[in-house]
Formats: sequence, structure tokens, C-alpha cells
Amino acid sequence: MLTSFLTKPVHIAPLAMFRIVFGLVMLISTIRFWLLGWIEDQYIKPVMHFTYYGFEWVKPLGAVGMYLVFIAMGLTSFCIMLGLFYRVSSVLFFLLFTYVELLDKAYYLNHYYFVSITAFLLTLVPAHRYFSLDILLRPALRVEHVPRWTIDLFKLQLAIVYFFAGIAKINSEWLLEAMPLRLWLRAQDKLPLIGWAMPFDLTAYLFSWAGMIYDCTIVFFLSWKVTRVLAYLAVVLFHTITGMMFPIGVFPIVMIGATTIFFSEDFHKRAISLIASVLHRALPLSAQSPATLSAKTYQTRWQPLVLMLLAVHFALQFLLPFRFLLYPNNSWWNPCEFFWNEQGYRFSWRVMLVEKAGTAIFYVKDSVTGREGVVNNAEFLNPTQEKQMSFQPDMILEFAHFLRDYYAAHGVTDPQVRAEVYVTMNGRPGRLLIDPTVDLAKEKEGFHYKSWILPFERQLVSASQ
Amino acid sequence: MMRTALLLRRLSANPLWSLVLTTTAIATAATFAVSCNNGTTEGSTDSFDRRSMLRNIAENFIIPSYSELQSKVNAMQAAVNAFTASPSEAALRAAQQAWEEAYTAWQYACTFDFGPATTSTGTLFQKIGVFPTNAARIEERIQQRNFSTDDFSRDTRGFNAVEYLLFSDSTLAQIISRFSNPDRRQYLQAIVADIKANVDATANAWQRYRAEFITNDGTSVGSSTSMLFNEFVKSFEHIKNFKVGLPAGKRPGQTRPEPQKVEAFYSGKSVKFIREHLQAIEMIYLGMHRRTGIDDLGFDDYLRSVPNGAALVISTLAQLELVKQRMNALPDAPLSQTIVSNFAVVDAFHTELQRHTRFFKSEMASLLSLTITFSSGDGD
Repeated sequence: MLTSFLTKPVHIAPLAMFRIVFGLVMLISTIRFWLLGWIEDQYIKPVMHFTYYGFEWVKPLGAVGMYLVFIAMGLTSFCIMLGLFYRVSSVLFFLLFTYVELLDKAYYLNHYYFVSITAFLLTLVPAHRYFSLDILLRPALRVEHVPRWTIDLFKLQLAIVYFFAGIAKINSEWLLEAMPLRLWLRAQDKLPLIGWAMPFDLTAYLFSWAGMIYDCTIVFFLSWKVTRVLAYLAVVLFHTITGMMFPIGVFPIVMIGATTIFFSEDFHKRAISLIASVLHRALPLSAQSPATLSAKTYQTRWQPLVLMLLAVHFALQFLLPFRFLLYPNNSWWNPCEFFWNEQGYRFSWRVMLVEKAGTAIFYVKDSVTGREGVVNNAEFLNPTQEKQMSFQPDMILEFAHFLRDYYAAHGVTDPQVRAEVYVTMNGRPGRLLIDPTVDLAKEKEGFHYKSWILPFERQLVSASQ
Repeated sequence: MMRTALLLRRLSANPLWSLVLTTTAIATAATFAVSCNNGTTEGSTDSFDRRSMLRNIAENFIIPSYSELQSKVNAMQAAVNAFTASPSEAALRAAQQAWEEAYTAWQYACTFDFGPATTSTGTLFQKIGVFPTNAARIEERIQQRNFSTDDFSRDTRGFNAVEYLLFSDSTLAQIISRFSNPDRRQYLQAIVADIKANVDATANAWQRYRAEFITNDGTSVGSSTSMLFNEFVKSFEHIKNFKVGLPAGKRPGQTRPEPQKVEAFYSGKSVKFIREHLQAIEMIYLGMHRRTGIDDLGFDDYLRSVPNGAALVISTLAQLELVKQRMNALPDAPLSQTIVSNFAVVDAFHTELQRHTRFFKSEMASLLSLTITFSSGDGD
């Protein structure tokens, strides 16, 4: 039953359009990243990088190497858009993009994670077998129909993104305190049309609740054809407004582009014939007449294997956002402890959910002389790295290890590193994030519970002891 | 009437619209529920007029600071020229005095190291504010008759290099005798002219930039508020890290204090300049005019308009009081001597500066939703 549902032939047009839109958005994103000088700022200039646990071996390639990576990324995304050498370019793009993302978690963004996943999923589907340069080169590749799963897997992935982003907002901070929007919206009083409403608490409550309901339900309304057009307008409106308010880069166009996959195959067929007619007028390609070719259905002997792989992928997608509950004190409705210690926070579609900022002062002590110095973080980190490190315990630990190694090589004997880190969360007065007496040089990174992270509700803890 | 009713019925039949209506209703209810039983957050709804704050900062801080700096630098140049034309103890004293006044004026302008203060060759601070100065290099350049001010040897120029030339010997007579060398006179004149050229350029550019500064009143990256805030924090940290931390030997790897690295080492006036600099910072925070004591719009007023902001202002001012207490406990001697003779009192001052950082840096930025810098990348 399930198999016949998943393998039912459907028209390939939505998949081809998805490939085109994704390739285009990634091309824009790559060029934008380059023009803003971020290749230099984020991957060439910094003297240290915050690695992901288990991926410490992923290192930047130096200036020439990094620019080559981005050139290759731009070229492969362009090829994905054109459907040229698709199998190779989609795999290459996935590897290059994920490589860059793994270099430094200071720049972690949920939508980059989404791009990596989408790029991976695109390597598994025949998105180039319709309206592409590949079929111009090899007409035999062309198919008219594909098994349903090749399209629905993107819908499911999008549903996961929105749904988990939505239920992550069902917590006391977001719904009852309207935090962090009560802080963030206030700064948006210069927006055209709606700026005047931003300083009011009521606006923050309205945006908080509307955002939660939007995220939880939008995929349902996009899937239902009665509400689809209105729901898509809501998508455009929602992402345009958030894009104007917050520095979230290409995220709005990624989502506005990706959600077009929910439109019907007729819509996509019409869109493609529109693009085709424009192209025909511009380019002498009129010899191509797709109608003369037979309507084939895509088949692959790898299908059972790919479906199994997808089952594993989606199972992980459903489980990862819940892993934070495995750590002591973390709870869903009252999120303070969890937002505070961030154990199990990433890769869970927790998008713009909490306002945190910290000031981290590191002390390095010579074990022989007992002399203790104060580190100037800006000497080693760029502003983004310093900002992100200052409130995320795993990054604080990694920086401490970096300082240990650096000063050991610069004449400090067996350096001990401790840090005084004051963090403000959702506008509360700053308090100590980690135990300032612990020698971080001796603590280990890992998935275990880190006892040197101080609990958020300290009074409660000491009262219960 | 009929039509409106029909339209309403159609709208409410549409799931998305009923969703919007429900959301509005729930959110309104939630707001009332929360505002009724939650006393911990102030339900402030007053918006803050950032443009007025920026106007105050531009017209009562930045522009006057630069024009005062400009006139004090002119006076310094006149005094230095008089001294080099006919060196005498009186002329030297006058030049020293003029330097001190100009460098004092600099403490009130150095925080505004953005906008017109930045050019392709660096910021005004990098061009004229660098310390410790490199005495050996200066002597070398005098010997080589190298009077160029275009290279990147910035520790051979600026206010602290002038200070070295005017103060570095123990008696006035010794200093004067060294200036019998015409190359030394020319070097001094060249670096003073360089300070003047840079200050003039920035002050004039500010006159043209002023209107843009005031109207660029958003909060995103590149807005006036965000640039002002960033340089404000940087300036505060400069006191902590370089004016106190570095000579006190506070950097990891320093094996002892390095008192010769204080600002204004040769004149022995480091504490005075730290005091002026810190006062400049406090006045910007409060939006308070230095001459008249009028308390106009500043960061403190801005903070009071946001949730939890009033509490932050109270704790910030309390900590600033501690910082000033420790600063006032410094003896009336050159800082370089105090570091050697009474290290504990310098250390205590540094500790309070350190404790103060978070109030200015992370907590203020967080409550005001200010982004750090241009290269800070995207958020999500």
C-alpha cells in the first residue's frame, strides 16, 4: 500500500522546477557571500575555527583553495539550475556546501542546514530528466513521469522544517512573555507601513502567536488546493516581513522558492512552458520539440535502497529535535534551562527562538609561576565568532582549548584556562553561564552532560540540595 | 451593508482568515492575562526617539568635541612652532601645556572613530592615537631625516610621539639641548602637522556628514546608533585592555608588568587622561552635556524605553560608580610608578573595569537589539 502510494507515477514538472529554483537561489547566495567579502572574513582571516564534534578534521583550504571552493560551488549550482551534468554537479555541490558549513559552527544557520539536506536529497532524484541541458545532450534521458516519492520527499522535508520550528515556539517564553520578539520588534520601528506598531507589547504577542500558528499549519494549507494560493501569499508575506526585520540573509528567498513545490503539476508545466517560450524567442533552440518524444516513466533499480536511505534520514529528522530531552533539567514548556545550556540545541529547526548575548573573559594561568593573564578575545576571533562563542558552552570550551594550546606554545607552562562568562537571556540581567573556577583546559568535549555549565535557576537547585 | 456582511461571511469561511482572527483573539487574551499577573516586566509601550538622541550626540558631543580638538591642535602647532623657532624653557613649557590640552581634547573625540573618522588608510585613532610610542624608531627616523608620515609606522607619529619629543628627558634644559638638532625640530613639526591635517580632515568631514548621521536612525548594521554603540564599547575596552591592562602585565604570556607601556609615559599624566576618557564615555552614556551638565537623551534613556532596561541602567551606573571609586583611589603619581609601587590598587581598578564590560557590551546590545559589525554575517 505504502509502496504503491510512494511509487505512483506523477508528472516530473514540479521536480524540474524545484531543481531550477534551488540552483538559482544557491547561485545568488554564493555570489552574495563572495561580494560581501565573507569568504575572506569568515574562512580565510580567522586564526581559529569552531569545529563540530567529530568533524575537527575539516579544515579551511587557505585563500586560493577557499575561493576555488566558492567558484566550484557557484558553477555547480549554475549547472544544477541548467540541469547540466546534473548527477556530478549535484553531488559536488552537496559536498562543497556541506564542507564549508562544517568549517566553523560560529556561522551555523538552520537554513544552511536545510540547504545541505536539500542538496543531499537532490542527489537522489532525477531532477535533470526534464527541461534540462542534459536531455538536450542525451534525449534518451528524458522522462515525463517520476515516482511520487521523488517529489514528496521535498514536501516532507519542508513540512519537518516548518512543523518543528512551530512546535519549538510552543513554550512559556515565546507565548506568555512574547520573548524575544518583545525586544527585537522594538528596534524595528522604522519599517515602512507597520513600523509604528512595533514598540507595543501587543504587537509582539500578536507576532509570537501568529508565527507559531503559521509555522505549525502552513504546510497543511499549502497542501490543500483550496487554500494553496492564499497560503502561498502568506508564505511570501511572512518571509518578506521577517527578511526586512532581521539579518537572515537569503533565508526568505530559499523558503519562498522551495515552497513552490507544493503547487500542482499543471502550474509547474505552465511555468516551464512559459520559460521555454521565452527561451525559444531569445535562443535559436526551436528545433527541440518535446511533444514528439514518447512519455516515459522514470525507473531505477536503486529505488528500494534509496527508499531505505530516506527512511533512515527522515527517522533521524524526527528524532534529532527531541534529543535535548535526554539531558537533565531540559523541558519543553519551560525552556529556560535548555535555552541556557544549549545541550542538544542545533539541527532542530529552532529558528530565531531566543535572544542571548554574553561577555566572556578568559584567564590563562601559568601552572609554575601562578601568574594569570586576561585574554583579549578580539585578538583571535572575528566579531561573529566572539559574539557566538560568548554564550554557547561548547564554543567556550573549544576556545579555552585553543588558548591552552596557543599559550603553551608561547611560553606559558601547562596553562590553566578559566572563564568568567556573563550571559543575558531574553532581556534578563546577566548571570554566570559556567563555573568560573573550573579549569576548562582539562574538560572534554562530547555529548555528555557538562557539569561545569551552571544551571539557569540556581536558587531552585541550591534549595533542593 | 449586505455586501459587507457577505464579504465577512466569505472571509470567515476561509480557513486562513479565521486563523488570523483566532490568533488575534488569543494573543489579545494572552497579553491581558500576562499583564494582569506578571509584575516582573515593565509593560512599557513608549517608543524611543532615536533621531533626537542622535541629534543630541551629533550636535552636543561629536561636532563640539572635534572643533575643540581642532582649536587645541592649532594652539599646539603654534606653540610647537614658537618653541622650534626659538627654544627656551618658557616656550617648551608652553608647548608641553598645549600638548596636554590637545591630548585632553582628544579623549573626548577618540570615541567617535567611525564614519568620517575612517578612510581607506585607517581610522583617525590609528593615525594619531597609537601608544606605546616607539622611541628608538623615532630617533632612527630623525637620524635618517625621514619625515614622511605616509607609511604604517604609526608608533612614530601621533600625540604620544609628540609627547616623547617634548617630555622624554628629565630636565627642560636637556630637552632643549636635544632640539639644537634641526632635524629633531623638523621631525616634531612634521608629526604635529600630520596630526593637524588628520584632525582637520575628520572635523570638516563631520560637518558634511552630520545630517546623514542624524537621519540614519534605524538599528540595523550600518545605522548611526549601531556604529556609535560599537565604537563606544570599543573605546571603553581600550581603556581596560591597553591603558590599564597592558602596562599592568595583564595579558597572558606577559611575565611581569610593563609600566613603560602606559599611555603618556613621558609626561606621567596617564591617570589624568584615563579619567578624562572615562568621563567622556560616561557622558555619552548619559547623553549629558559636559559644560552645562544638562542631561539630554543618551543610551540610558534609550534603555529605559525597553523591557528590563531600567534595571540595567541602575546596575550599570552602580558598577560605574565602583569603577570610578577604584580610579579615584589611584595615587596622584604617574601610573607607571604606581604599577611598580602599589600594584594592588591598579589591579583593583582593572578588575572593576573588567566587571563593567558586560553591562556595556552584551547586555546593552541585547536589550537594544543592536548588531555588531558589517562583517557579522547572517543570523537565523
